[in-house]
Amino acid sequence: MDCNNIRNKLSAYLDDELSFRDREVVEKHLELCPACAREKKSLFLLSSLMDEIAAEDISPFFTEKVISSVKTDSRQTSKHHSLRSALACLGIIVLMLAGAGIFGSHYLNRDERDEYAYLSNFDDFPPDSFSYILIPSLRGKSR
Amino acid sequence: MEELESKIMIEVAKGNLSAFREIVERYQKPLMNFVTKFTGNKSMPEDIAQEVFLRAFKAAKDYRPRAKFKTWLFTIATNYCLNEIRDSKNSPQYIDLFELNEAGFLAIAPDTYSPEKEFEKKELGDILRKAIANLPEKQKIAVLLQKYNGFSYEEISHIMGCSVSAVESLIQRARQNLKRTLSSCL
Repeated sequence: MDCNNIRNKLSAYLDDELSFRDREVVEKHLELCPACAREKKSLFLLSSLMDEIAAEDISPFFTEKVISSVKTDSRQTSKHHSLRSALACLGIIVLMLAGAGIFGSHYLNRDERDEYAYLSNFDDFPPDSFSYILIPSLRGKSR
Repeated sequence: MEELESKIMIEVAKGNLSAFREIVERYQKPLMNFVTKFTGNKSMPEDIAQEVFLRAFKAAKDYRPRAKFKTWLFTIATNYCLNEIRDSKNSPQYIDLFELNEAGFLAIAPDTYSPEKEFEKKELGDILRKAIANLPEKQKIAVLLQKYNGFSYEEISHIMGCSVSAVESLIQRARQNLKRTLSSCL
């Protein structure tokens, strides 16, 4: 491997992420190449400096803050669920009422339509015929 | 440890807040470390970490014990940082190069203690924080997960949804960028 390849492997080398064979190749190169050895040293120094800023301050109330935000969110979610369920129920009721209306009006109108159909059919018969007997009884039924 | 966390998460999925409290207490430090360094912003990281925990609570039902809990949690954090924060006001401000040139860089030499050196060290730490926050997003996430949260390259590849060699390249480039930024002391 040339210097460029070795330098591209240096981070993985420092992080112990190289295979045993690659690790050996890098180590042999570092023994012979002062420029790459310097590069490794500077990356190592950077890593040490990064270790210095590892810890970040955290508020002692952080856990309580998180738990309280979860509670608030759960409450809001359950409110949304209740509202959604209520709206769904309302929708179902409206649909049922609309359905009942359409169904009812269809059947009520059918009685009237049927009566007219009978009348128009039987009106063609001459007096004293079969329709003469039927029509009064139909009229009586509609009342 | 992983088995215990799986059991805790089953409880969390049922809405058990005591179990969730345990998760928050275990992971608040590593998550805050990640978020603080990702944003480079001292005032907002707690809000962001809080949002990540809230999302984890909501998604607890989707957690499958075959995934390592820490990897799962940091996948949520990474996605949140990548998708939500970068478009908001919390995006890290670009580093002032003049400020870098003005800073003292001697503190890195690990020899005797002196208040001046401690001061310089702190100043250098602040500059490094800004330099990390200023890295390209994917490089930053890869290096933070590796350096401060102890994830292997393979685990990072799962979190970020890319190959191990891509992670290796991201970390290498992140370090080169940081080294270039801090070149006068390294």
